[in-house]
Amino acid sequence: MLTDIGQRRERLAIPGEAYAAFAILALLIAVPLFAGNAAVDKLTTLFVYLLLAVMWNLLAGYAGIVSVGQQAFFGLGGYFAVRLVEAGLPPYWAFFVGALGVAIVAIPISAAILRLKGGELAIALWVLAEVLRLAVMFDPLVQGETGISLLAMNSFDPTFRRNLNYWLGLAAVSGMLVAAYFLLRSKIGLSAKAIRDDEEAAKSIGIDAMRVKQVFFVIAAFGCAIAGMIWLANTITYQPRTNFGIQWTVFMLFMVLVGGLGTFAGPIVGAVVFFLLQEIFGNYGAWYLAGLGLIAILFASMLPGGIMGYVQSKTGFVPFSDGMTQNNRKRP
Amino acid sequence: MSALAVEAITSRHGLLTAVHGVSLTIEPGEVLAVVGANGAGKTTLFRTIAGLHRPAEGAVFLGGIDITDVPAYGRPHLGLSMVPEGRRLFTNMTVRENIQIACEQTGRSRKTFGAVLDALPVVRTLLGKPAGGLSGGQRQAVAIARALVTAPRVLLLDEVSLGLSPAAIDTVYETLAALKLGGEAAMVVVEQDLDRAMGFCDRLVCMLEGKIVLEGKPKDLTREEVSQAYFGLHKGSNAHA
Repeated sequence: MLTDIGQRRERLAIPGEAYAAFAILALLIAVPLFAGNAAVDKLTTLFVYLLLAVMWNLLAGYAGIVSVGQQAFFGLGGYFAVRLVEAGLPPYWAFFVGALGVAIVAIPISAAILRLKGGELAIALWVLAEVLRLAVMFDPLVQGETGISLLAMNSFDPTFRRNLNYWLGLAAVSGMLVAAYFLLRSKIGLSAKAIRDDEEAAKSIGIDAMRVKQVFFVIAAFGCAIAGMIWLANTITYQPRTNFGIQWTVFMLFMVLVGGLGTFAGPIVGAVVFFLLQEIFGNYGAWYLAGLGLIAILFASMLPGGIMGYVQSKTGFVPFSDGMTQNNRKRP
Repeated sequence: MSALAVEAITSRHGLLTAVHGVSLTIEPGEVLAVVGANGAGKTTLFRTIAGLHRPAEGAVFLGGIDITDVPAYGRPHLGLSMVPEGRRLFTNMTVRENIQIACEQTGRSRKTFGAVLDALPVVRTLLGKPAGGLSGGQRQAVAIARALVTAPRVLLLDEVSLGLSPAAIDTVYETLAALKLGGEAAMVVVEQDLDRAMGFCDRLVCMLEGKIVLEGKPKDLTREEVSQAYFGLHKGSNAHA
């Protein structure tokens, strides 16, 4: 931390924001006690989107790693869970161990793939996701594109399972948001922001850019794997084409772009906007997808800082500041 | 013992050999200017010393220790810092944050931070400003402060006057002159402006086509000799590779 040098960075979260966050959390914890099954299911889906958006923002918005292959870890998380359940592990334990397994696998992947930069890195990650999808399809257990159902989940009472998935999703989102908040305020978070601005200059002042990027990459892989687990726990079926689908990364990109790349609250806002759009217009098929594309283009060209970037530039309000000066931030 | 020694360095960009077996030494507190036209190999040599470009042959020694295999990020911790061409500040941070992060990374204290601000008073007035909104001269001053805060034994400065107004260049060189008088750190200044380089350095080397073609103290060299070596018009007797 920079506590002993010069003027202090901004304080930890403004109490008002923290109280608001706790109030929302308390309300969300209680939702299954008064809301219907459909609402609980939909909010669980929102938690998956939130996790994905927060993880992609960590990668691209703070560490400068633009990945179009994050679906690799979403899909791999589900696959590990399926395999562990098949090996006899109780499902919810399998989810947790599987996500840890993905994080471990991401370490050597990061060591190899983060040597690439820019477009080459983005393409390599996409190729990695496709290779993993094909490899998983060769597993007889998965039966190619047919996929597999996680029948062990049927041993739980449906209401209990639905609520448990919801609370697990909420716990995962809360935990990863808290972890991201403190990570960004730490020395390694500050280093990541320097690398995002200028990697060579960061090296010239003693920052081990590779190590810092690896930390962000592995955390994001873990978060995406958790999201994949929650999705699997909710849908019960695992299909490589769906779970390794490029649409997951497109969703992440859309949410972060709309909410505000490189802002802490941006992916939260973006995920809620995306969720609402899906709820309201999701039945319009191709027109819905075209509308999403149009919105993304409009934001990229007219509001590149996203909703939170606009709010920050107009009001100076920086909810849950990452500790750095934000009002002068240029949008990548 | 020399502060920095470069022994028979050869650096390539693919098939192109940009630096051919260059050797040089810098003593503690000495200021060495490296001059040469575009494409002479100055910046490749600079980047090789800084660890940003791996040499094909040769070695780099810092205070007698072989640092050839030390990665770029490890060199500031050993006392080798650089001010890169184009300043390259972290533009989404304030000036204070730019300097703080360098201070922290190399484990320097608040005292070092204060001492650098005392040496560069102009930077003190800019601390709260966004680095992305500074003028070229201000950026150069901040880039120098960011390197100095790591308490280097050898400071590398690449093209410090490039893209700056004459007034800004004067200010930057006044700052460097003050540092030169006050410190033990050796400096390697890569510069295209011959007059600036000759007026500031203790020793000058001129590069042409990847080799050192002229070396000497400014008082022992004429402007004409340096110009001829600079443009390759006369490969002088002082030349060595």
